[in-house]
Amino acid sequence: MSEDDIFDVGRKTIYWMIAGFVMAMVMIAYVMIIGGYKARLTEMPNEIKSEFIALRFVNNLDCFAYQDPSTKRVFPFSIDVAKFKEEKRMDKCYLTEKEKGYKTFNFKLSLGQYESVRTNNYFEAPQSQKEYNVLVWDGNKFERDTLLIEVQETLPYIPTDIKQEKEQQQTQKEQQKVQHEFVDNGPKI
Amino acid sequence: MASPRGLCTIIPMNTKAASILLWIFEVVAVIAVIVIALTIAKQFSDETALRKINAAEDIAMMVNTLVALPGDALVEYPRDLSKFSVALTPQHVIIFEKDAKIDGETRNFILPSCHAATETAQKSCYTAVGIVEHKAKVCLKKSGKTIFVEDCLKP
Repeated sequence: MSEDDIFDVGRKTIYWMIAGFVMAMVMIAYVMIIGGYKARLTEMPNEIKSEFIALRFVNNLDCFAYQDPSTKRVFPFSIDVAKFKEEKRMDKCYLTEKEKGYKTFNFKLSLGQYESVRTNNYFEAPQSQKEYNVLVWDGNKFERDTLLIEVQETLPYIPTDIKQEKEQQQTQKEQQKVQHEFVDNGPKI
Repeated sequence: MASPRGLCTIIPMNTKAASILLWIFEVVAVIAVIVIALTIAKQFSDETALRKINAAEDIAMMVNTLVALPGDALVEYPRDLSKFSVALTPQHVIIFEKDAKIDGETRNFILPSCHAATETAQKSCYTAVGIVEHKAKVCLKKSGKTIFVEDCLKP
């Protein structure tokens, strides 16, 4: 074996080491590109998904839709103000997971002069919005109004400032609760 | 050719033999890369997997739509699902071929929650149940606050 032949074998070994690494990278890129293509192929627009979820707010009697007490008829695209004002009503209607709920759809509902209603993981980061023309039952009569629904789609993480604000609010609430208990019941010995 | 210490003997390889060996290795490596690429492409282009994902998406949206419906309803899924099984639970729908844990495609949905304390009250909570195995026609039925998945041809 001549000196050149030995170098040829050595050169090829180094070549295949580099080529192997490059080929591995190319294969990974190939898998990622095809995987991305497949995901795009089966992708469903978030607007459609959120639309189907949001329909429950105005059509389901366990959410905010008005039900006639005598006929038991549920009016489609209606809002019962009593239900809209009810605390924790939204939690009964649409409650996302406490820890990871920000990764799914969350909503904020705004109706006329009434205070907005939010789902439990809504962090004021809307990505789209929709409007429904609704009939609002104020206890005596129907009135036409527009329900504005702001949709917060998947968030990769909770915005830090909002998270801190939420934690502060919760701490304040807990402190207030303790104070009220103290005032109502007196000091516990 | 003896080694400096004379412990072993290095047999010099024929130049042609070394060259052929390298050539064989190169051919095998190229064939392996082509086979792997084709296998991956075939796996990803598998129509069954795409149909499974689409079915899971569709049924999850159908459940959300049924929740938004004030009354009872019966809806037929318009595509042939005879290759798959469909399982519905209160949190998600799973479409699978043989084993839900291995080849299952899952999509989550959120039903109106229930905080009823008593068992009687809990019966009036929203729920989703049922499993249909390899049936061409699959129906979703909403009865009261329960959503069932069932074979459409069931009497």
